[in-house]
Amino acid sequence: MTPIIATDAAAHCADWRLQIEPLNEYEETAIAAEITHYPQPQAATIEALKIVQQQQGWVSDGKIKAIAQRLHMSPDEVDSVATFYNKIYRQPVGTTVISLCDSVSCWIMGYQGLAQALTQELNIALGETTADGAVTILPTPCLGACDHAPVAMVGDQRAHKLTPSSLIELARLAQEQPL
Amino acid sequence: MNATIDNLVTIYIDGSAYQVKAGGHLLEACLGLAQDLPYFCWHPALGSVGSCRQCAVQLYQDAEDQRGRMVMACMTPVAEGMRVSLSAPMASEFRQQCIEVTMANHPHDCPVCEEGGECHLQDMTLQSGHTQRRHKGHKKTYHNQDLGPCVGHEMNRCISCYRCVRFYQDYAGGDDLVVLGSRENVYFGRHQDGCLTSHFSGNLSEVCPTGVFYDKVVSDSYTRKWDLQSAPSICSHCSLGCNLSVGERQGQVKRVTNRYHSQVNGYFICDKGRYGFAHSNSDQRLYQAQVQPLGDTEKVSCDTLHGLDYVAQIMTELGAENVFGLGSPRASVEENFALQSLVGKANFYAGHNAAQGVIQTQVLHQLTQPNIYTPSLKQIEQADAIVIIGEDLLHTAPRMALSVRQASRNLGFAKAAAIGIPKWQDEPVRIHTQNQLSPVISVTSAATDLDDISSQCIHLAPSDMCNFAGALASAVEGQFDGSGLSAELNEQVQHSLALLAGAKRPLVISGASSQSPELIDLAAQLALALGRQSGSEAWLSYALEAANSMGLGLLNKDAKHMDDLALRLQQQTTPSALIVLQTDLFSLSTQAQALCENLRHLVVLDQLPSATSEHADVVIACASVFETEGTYVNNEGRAQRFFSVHDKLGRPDAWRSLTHLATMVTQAGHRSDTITQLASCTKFDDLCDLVSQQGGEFAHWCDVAPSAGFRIAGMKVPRQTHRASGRTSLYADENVSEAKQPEDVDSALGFTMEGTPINKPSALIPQVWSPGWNSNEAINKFQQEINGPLKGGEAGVRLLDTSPSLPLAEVAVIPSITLGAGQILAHTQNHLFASDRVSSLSSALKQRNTAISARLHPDTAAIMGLVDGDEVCVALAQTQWLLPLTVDASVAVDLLLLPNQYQAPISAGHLPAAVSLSAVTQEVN
Repeated sequence: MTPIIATDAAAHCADWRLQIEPLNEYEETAIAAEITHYPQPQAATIEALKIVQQQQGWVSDGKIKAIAQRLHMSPDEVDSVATFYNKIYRQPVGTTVISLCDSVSCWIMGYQGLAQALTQELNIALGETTADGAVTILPTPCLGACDHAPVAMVGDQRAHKLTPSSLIELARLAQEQPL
Repeated sequence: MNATIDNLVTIYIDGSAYQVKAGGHLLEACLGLAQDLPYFCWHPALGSVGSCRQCAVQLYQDAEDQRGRMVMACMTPVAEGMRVSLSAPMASEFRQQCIEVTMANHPHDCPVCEEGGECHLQDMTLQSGHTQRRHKGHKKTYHNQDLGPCVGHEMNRCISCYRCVRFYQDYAGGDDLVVLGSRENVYFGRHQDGCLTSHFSGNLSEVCPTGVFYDKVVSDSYTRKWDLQSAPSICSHCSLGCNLSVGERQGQVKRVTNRYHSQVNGYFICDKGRYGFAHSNSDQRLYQAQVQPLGDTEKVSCDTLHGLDYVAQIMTELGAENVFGLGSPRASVEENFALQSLVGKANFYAGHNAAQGVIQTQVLHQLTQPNIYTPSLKQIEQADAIVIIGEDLLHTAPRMALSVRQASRNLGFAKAAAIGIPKWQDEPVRIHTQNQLSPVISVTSAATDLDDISSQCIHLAPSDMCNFAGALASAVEGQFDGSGLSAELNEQVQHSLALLAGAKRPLVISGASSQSPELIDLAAQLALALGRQSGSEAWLSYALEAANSMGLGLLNKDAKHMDDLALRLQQQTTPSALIVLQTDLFSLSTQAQALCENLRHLVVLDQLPSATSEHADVVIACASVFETEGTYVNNEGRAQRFFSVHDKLGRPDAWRSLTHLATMVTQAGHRSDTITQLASCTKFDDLCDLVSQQGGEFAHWCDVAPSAGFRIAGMKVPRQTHRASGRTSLYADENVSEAKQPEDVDSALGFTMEGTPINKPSALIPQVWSPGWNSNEAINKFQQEINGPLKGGEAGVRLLDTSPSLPLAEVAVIPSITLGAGQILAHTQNHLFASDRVSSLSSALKQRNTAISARLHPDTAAIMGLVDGDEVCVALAQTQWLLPLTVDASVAVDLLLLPNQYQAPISAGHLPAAVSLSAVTQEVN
C-alpha cells in the first residue's frame, strides 16, 4: 500500500518556528529577568519588544517570532502588541528618529512650517530615512507637552518651542553624529 | 407573586409600554420586541462592547423629560419604568452620521462582493437612512492576506467592528487572528500569510457584518443567497447533530451555513460541517446501479430498478433467512429501519466493530439510568466543572469543545455577577476575572487544543485512563485509599479531587474514540459520584462515533455488530447474501476480507465507491444526505430531521430503494410482516409512521418534524427565496422549454418560490430572511427572545428523557490486548479533517489535513532507538504503514499514536492493537 503524504497545504501552514531570528545573549538574559516580574510571561511583551529594539534599532519579523516562542505566545499576538505602539519600529529606522508632533496644539503653533523646513533640509518625506541612515522623520500624535508647542522628539530628547531654524539645527547635529 | 412576573420589567419605547426580561440590555430587549435598531459590534453570543456607536437611543429621565440624553442601547441595562425613544431625531441622526463615517472608507464593490445581498452593513446602512455619500476623499486600501483554503480576506471592506477577533480569540480560543496597528489604522489579520488554524475559522464569514472574511469555497463557485435553493439539514460529520442550512444551484450543493438551534449549535458550526459538503458534487459519485452476474468478471451499469430487481431475485433464490443486512451509524434511522424490516431483526447487524458495539450498548444503558442526564450543548455551557476523559473533542466533536470553552468562563461570570457586572458586559467581565477559569480536567493520550483552558491536563495511556477515572470516582465518594495507583497518578487524583470539591453543576465527558467500553462505564460512575457530591443529577455526555450512532443503537438494542455477523457467516452452511448500507467494511474491522469470502452475494447501497463496493456484485447508487430526507439521533438522543435540498438526481433515496425491494420480494411470494409493512410505504411519512409504531423511544417519531401534509395558508414551505432569479433559463443548456418544478411528496417543503418566507415551524426553516434583514442576523426575528428558542419551538425530539432504563445487551467480552515481544500499544490520533471518506473529498479540508505522522513520547522513542523525523514502519499482522515519526513530550509513555486517516493501511477501526514499530533504513547504493 502506498503511504499517505501530506498535501502542499503543509507549505501553506509553514511552521513559524522555522523562521525565528534567535535572540542574542543580552536579549535572552534581559527578557528572562523581565519575565520574573509578572505572574504570566505574556505580561513582559512590551519590555521584551523594547529590549530587542534597544539592541537592534528595530524589531524584525524574525525577532517577533523569537519573542513569541520565549513568552509562550503566537507571533500574531506579539505583533498585535508591537504594531499598537508607534514607538516600536517594525521597519529599520535611522540612527536618530525625529518624531514631529502633528496634533492640534502643535499644528496651531506652526507644525506645517516645521515639517516643510525639515523635509526640505533632509531631502526626505515624512516617514522616510536619509540615504546615509542617520535620520528618520516620523509624524506623531501628541507628545504630551502642548504648553511648549510646537514640539518634537529628537532621539530620546524632547525639543520645545521649535522654530524651523532651531529644528534644522537639531537635525544637522543628529546627522553629524557617528552612525 | 409569580416568579416569572418578578423577572420582568416594564419599559416604554416611543411611548408604548412593553414587558421585557430584567437583567438584559436595551438592544437585546428592542430586538426581542421586533423593533429595528441597527448594531454592528454586538453579537448575541459575544456580548456588548459598545464600540460601534450604532445602537444609540434617546433615554429620558421620566415622563416629563422632553430632552433626554443619548445612550448606547447595547451598554444600557433595562430598568423598571425606563423611557426610551428609537425614533427621536437626536438619536436617529446620530446613527445616520455614524454610518456615514463608517462608510467613508468602505468600497462600493457590493456587486462583486461575496456578502452582497446578505450583508449586515447594507441592511444597517439602509435602516439608518444614510443613502448619499458626501465624503469626496480617497478611501484607504489594504493588502489582503492568504488565509488558507477556507476563508478569504478583503480588508478594504473592514468597518473595524472587532467582531472577528472577539469571536476568533475570545470565543473560540484561536491565537492566529489578531488586530494589528492602532487608532484609525487597524488591520485584522495574521502576522503573515498562512492558513487560519482554528477549527471554527469558517464562522468568520458569518460573524463579519460585511465581506472582509468570506467563504472562499462559496466564492470559487458563487451564487447569491437569494438564488440558492435551500433546505434545513443536519450535519452528518459527527454525533452532535449541528443544524445546517444547505444551499443548491443547478444541481450542485454550493454552500453550508449555520442554522440556529438554541440547544444544539447556537450560532456556530465547525469547519468540517461548513466545508465538508463537496462529496455530494464529487465526480466519484455513484450515479447508476451496477450488477455483476455470477461468473462474470465485470460489473455492468443499469438503472436502479433493474439493479433492485436483481437483488430481489437473489433474495428469493436464497430464502429470507439467508439474507443479512448491515446498517450504518452514518445512515438515517429511516434507512436503517427499512433495511432492518427487509432482512428481519434477527438478520440485522450494525456497521461497527465489536468495541463500538459494546460502547453503543453501554452508552444507551448509562444515559437512560434514572439519575443520569445528558445535557445539550447549550446546557454544557452551564457546567461549572468539567472532566473530559479519553476524548480529543476538537477532533471528534468540535462544537462540544466550543461549549466546554464557554463553560470554563463560568467562574468569571459568577465573580463578575457578585459585584453586579452582568454577563453581557464583555470587557468588564474579562478585566475583572483576568485568567480565572472554572475547573476543566482533561485526561487524554496527548496534548489537545483545550489544554489552554484546562486547569489540569493529564496525558495517559488508555489503561491508566481507566485506573484514573475509577480512582477519582471512588475518591469523590470518599472511598479511595490510594492503593494500586502509582504515586504520580495518586497525586493527580488528589489534585482533581480538590478542583472538583465545590462544583455545583459538574459534568463528565467521554466518548467512543477511546474504543474502551470500560471507560464509558467508569465515566458514568464518576458522573454519578460527582452528582451525589453536588447534590444534583449526574451530568454525562458522550461524543459518539457518527451522526446516527445513537439512532442505530436504539434500533439495534441487542448490539449485534459486524464481528458477530462474520462469526455467524462462518458457521452458516447455506449460501448467503449481505446487503450493506453506506459502510466500508474494510475500514471497520480486520475481519472484512474473511466476511466477504463467506458470502455468495454482496449488495452495497452507497453514494460513493469504497473497497466494499469494489468487492460487491451489486451496487445501488443512493442519494447523499442533501438529496434525501431522514432523521439522525444525536449524542444526547435528540432526533432531528434533514430534508433534500434539490431533486436534480431524481431522488435515489436509499429508503425508497429498500421499500421498492420489499415490494418486489413481496410480489415474489415473501410474506413476512415487516416486509409487507415496508412494501406498503410509498412516501416518507408512511415510513415515519412505521418507525413510530415501534413504540418505546420511537413513539413520538412523527413529532420530529411536520409531515408532508403540513401547509401554511394552503401552501408548502418554499425552498427558494421570493426573489429567486433565472428559473426559466437555469437549465436552458439542456432544454429550452422550462421544465415543470419537481414535486416533493415526501416533505412539507416545495421546490418552489411560492409560499411564505416567515412564520415557519422551526424544523422547516431553509434559510433566514425578514424584511430589511437579508443577512443571517435576521435570526433575531425568528427567536422568541435573543438567544432563546425559535418562535416555532425547538425542532426535534429528545428520545431518551422519557425512556425507561435500558439494560446492557449481552455481548461478547472484548479480549484484552497482549503485547508480544518488541510490540507497542497503538491507538488512534483523530484528525478532524482526515478521518473519513466523505470529508476527504473536500479539497479545502484536504489542504488542511497536515502533519500526518506517528507520535511517540521521547523516552519511549529513545528506548526504541528512534528520533524525531525518522521514517518508521508500523506493522499490524500483514499490514504495513510507512510514515514519519514525531517525538512529542505530551504523548503518554509506551503508547504509539497513529493518525486516523481515510484509506490509511491501518484505520481507526483496527485500533487499539499491539503493533511492531521499526525505523525504515535507507538502502545505500
